[in-house]
Amino acid sequence: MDARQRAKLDEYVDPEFIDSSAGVFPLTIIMSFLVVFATIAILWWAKNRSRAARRGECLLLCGISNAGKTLLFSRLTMGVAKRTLTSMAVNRGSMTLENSSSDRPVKKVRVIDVPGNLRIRQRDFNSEKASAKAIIFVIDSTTINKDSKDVSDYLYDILREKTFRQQRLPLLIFCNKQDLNNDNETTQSIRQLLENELTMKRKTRTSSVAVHQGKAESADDIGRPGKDTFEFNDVKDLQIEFVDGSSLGAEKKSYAKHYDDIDEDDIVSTGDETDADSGANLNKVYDWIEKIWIK
Amino acid sequence: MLDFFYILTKGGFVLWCVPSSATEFIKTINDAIDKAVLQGQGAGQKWVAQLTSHHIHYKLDNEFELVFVLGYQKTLNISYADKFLDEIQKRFRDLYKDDLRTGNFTRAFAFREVYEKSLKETEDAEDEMKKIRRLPRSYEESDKKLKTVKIVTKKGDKTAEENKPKKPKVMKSSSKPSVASNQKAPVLEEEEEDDENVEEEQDVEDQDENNGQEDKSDEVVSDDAMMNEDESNRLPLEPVQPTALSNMQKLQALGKLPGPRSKGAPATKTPGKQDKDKPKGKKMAVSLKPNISDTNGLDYTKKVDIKKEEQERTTVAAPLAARPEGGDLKTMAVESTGLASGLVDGFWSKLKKVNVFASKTLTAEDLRTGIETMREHLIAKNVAADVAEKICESVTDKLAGKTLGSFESLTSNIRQAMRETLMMILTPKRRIDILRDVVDAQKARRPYVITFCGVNGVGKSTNLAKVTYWLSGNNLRVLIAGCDTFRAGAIEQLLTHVRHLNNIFTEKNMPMIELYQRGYGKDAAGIAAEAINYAKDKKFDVVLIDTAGRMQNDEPLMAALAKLIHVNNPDLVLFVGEALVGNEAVDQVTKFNQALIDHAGLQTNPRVIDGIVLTKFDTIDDKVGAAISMTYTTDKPIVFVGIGQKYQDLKTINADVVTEALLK
Repeated sequence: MDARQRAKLDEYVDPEFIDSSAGVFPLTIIMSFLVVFATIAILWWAKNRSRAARRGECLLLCGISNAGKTLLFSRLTMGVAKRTLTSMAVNRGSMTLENSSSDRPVKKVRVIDVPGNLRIRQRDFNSEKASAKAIIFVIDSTTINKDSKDVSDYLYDILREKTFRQQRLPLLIFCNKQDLNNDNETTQSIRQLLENELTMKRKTRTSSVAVHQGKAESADDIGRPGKDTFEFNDVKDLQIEFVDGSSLGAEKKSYAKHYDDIDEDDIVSTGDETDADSGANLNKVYDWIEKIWIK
Repeated sequence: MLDFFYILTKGGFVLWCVPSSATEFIKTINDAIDKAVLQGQGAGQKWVAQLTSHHIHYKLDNEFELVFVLGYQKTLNISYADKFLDEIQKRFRDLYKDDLRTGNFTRAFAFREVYEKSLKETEDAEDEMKKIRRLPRSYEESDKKLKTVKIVTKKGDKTAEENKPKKPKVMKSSSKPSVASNQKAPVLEEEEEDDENVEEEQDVEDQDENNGQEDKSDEVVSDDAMMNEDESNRLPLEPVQPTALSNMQKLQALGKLPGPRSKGAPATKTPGKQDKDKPKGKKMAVSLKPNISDTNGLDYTKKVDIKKEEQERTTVAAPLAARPEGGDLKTMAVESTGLASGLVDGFWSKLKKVNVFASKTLTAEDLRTGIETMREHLIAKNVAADVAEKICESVTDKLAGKTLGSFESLTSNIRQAMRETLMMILTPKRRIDILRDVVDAQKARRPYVITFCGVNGVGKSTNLAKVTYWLSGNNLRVLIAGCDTFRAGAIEQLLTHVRHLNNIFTEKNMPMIELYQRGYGKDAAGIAAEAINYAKDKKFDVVLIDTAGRMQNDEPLMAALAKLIHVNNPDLVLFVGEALVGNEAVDQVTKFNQALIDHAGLQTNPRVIDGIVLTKFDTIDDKVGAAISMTYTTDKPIVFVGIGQKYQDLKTINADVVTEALLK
């Protein structure tokens, strides 16, 4: 076998395998590490991205506890009026808007329901406010007299929020539960009540004891700076509207039926609840939402 | 027998409930959710409703974000409540898993049949259990045994914590072997650690054993036998007398000092241990059994030291002072347990712990170490021990069964849950806005009355002066009522403050502050009443009542304070507490509240503490735990924070900063 045969063999053998065996190995390791890291990075970025995609796109439902936000949420997103209790966590869902006039017949609107409980409201509101395109502030018309201080507190925080003022956020103040009693406060009287409260709130908030080690906030005053009393008309940076209605309304009956006698009817289909969305009492709200999303 | 049972989502939708049409429980449940679930006050997933007379049990399902709540009358005693909750949870999840996962809440959940069947089964099982004759608990199962074991094992031993199994009293038979096996572990630990302490506790234990039962399991007997092995070398003589260990030995026992072998062992005052050979008598005979001869291998004590100590001990006659340790006092070797290992990760360990792809469900076991570290961390930050314990329980409840998403690590989840819980505790249920309420009182033509109460020396008078400064600065006329008729110089102190503040304010043309006082020795409640009338006549806006400091367990003084508050009915009762207080905080606020309720007289709605003033906040750096202890116990907000001794040093609490300081 000698030089001649060896030379022949060498023809078949690819020279690369012989020479660069030492160099390939670390390169492949590096390549594989890079691939792994790239995959991890892409997954992480994708995860964060999905959260950011909702920025500035959502409809926020705010209000103090027991105002009717979660019920409104279920009406908007699911078309059903489900029985609700105090929310402990944020509800996220989406509603579809039917629009006959434009070429996109169906538009999806993301709705976020922020719990009203004072303990978690701050945390949830702060994390959701970045994704707000419009806010519905729900007020319980039957107890507004008692709760006016808490309501105005919350409203003051919303009105003062700098990011909202910069983006000229539309704010709908929805006076809920108009169906319950006959001697409810009307929209006008609620508006007046809130204006009085907010006038006082401006003064007391600015003169209250400072927060220990708090951030030095610039005096984000609401309303017109020179004027003493506060009026909603003065708020130029936000588009505020007052509307009344009821989230519950006509479907009070089917709502109870949903839970009763389940073993007899054995409701499998959800046909009973869809008539709840007669929408008679939420028309104004729907109009407002359409106005904003379908411009 | 159950009044109601609700299945709801965390977002507030009721998925299923019984009774289906009643709405009278909604308020009760809402209240329970607020207090128990959110604030974490429900201990062991139970809650006693104050307003109505219900016991409420709840269970959080963190995987599907559900809450299962049931309630029954207080007068009943339903022992199967927790078991039933578990059962229903399992069944509901199995039946509707898909719908829950997709979030399809609009469907009707035809759950009643399954519920009724389950209820019947549980009730029948319960009746069966009751029929079995229950023997009284043996000593091993009793809580006392667990307590003594816990005292012996020091250094925050994990196994001591394991030794508190929360077993329901019904399932006694099944828990017996587990309790016994749990005790094996701590026994081994005991042997490794302090000899002296084992000795000391030995006497206590032996007495308890004799009071206990005859039927001991084998493991427990070996437990005693092992300790008796040591003892046979140095027999205690008399029956139970707490052997007085010297301070050095106590410190050693606590693990703060190195053991006796490195330095000269000091004299010990243990005369009881001198006599080695005297038999222990009856106690030993009962405990020693011949079949545990191989326990010598489990004895980890260093025999060398025992002999050395005995030699020292046999020569004890001189009192401690005559045999100094030689040289200066040895400093305590304090181990700094930072928030180490569990929570501060390096990059690689973080990478290991991070879930990249898989989703893992958290169990209680996984959480235990992290939660333990967190609990000790909280205690190190001056949170009261009970409160820290309860907070950790509620965090465990919140996280148990939760599925970790990708890129979430266990520690980050624990920290997040802990941060949320602490924020929720510090955020008040109702914001107190004094200026706004003063406006209301002005409209009603009466003064707004604030009372300051607290124990001695917390800073009531100083902070009262600061509040006066703030209120006057807002153009309100303030009257101070000097109802501290006991402490020497109290009235003079207030007079000085008034003079000083008036000096400041005359320059700015602000209203004058007055002091209403009637000297010393008079009845505080009477003076307060007169002051309020005087304020009404002269049209003052605010009345601040300064009371004398009193200890919370001083009955007559607490009764006097309750009388002052209930007679005068102030608008705001502020409890002044200092931030330096530790575990005492819980006791103080509880006893103050209790005293106010007890001595309420004929009032149907007794007044309690409405808010807390936290003083001397600048003296603690980041050991801000007192804020948590107090708000957790009373569920009332911290209205003011005193950060110094000048008039301007009055702030409100910043929940973010306090939470971050606690978690740092």
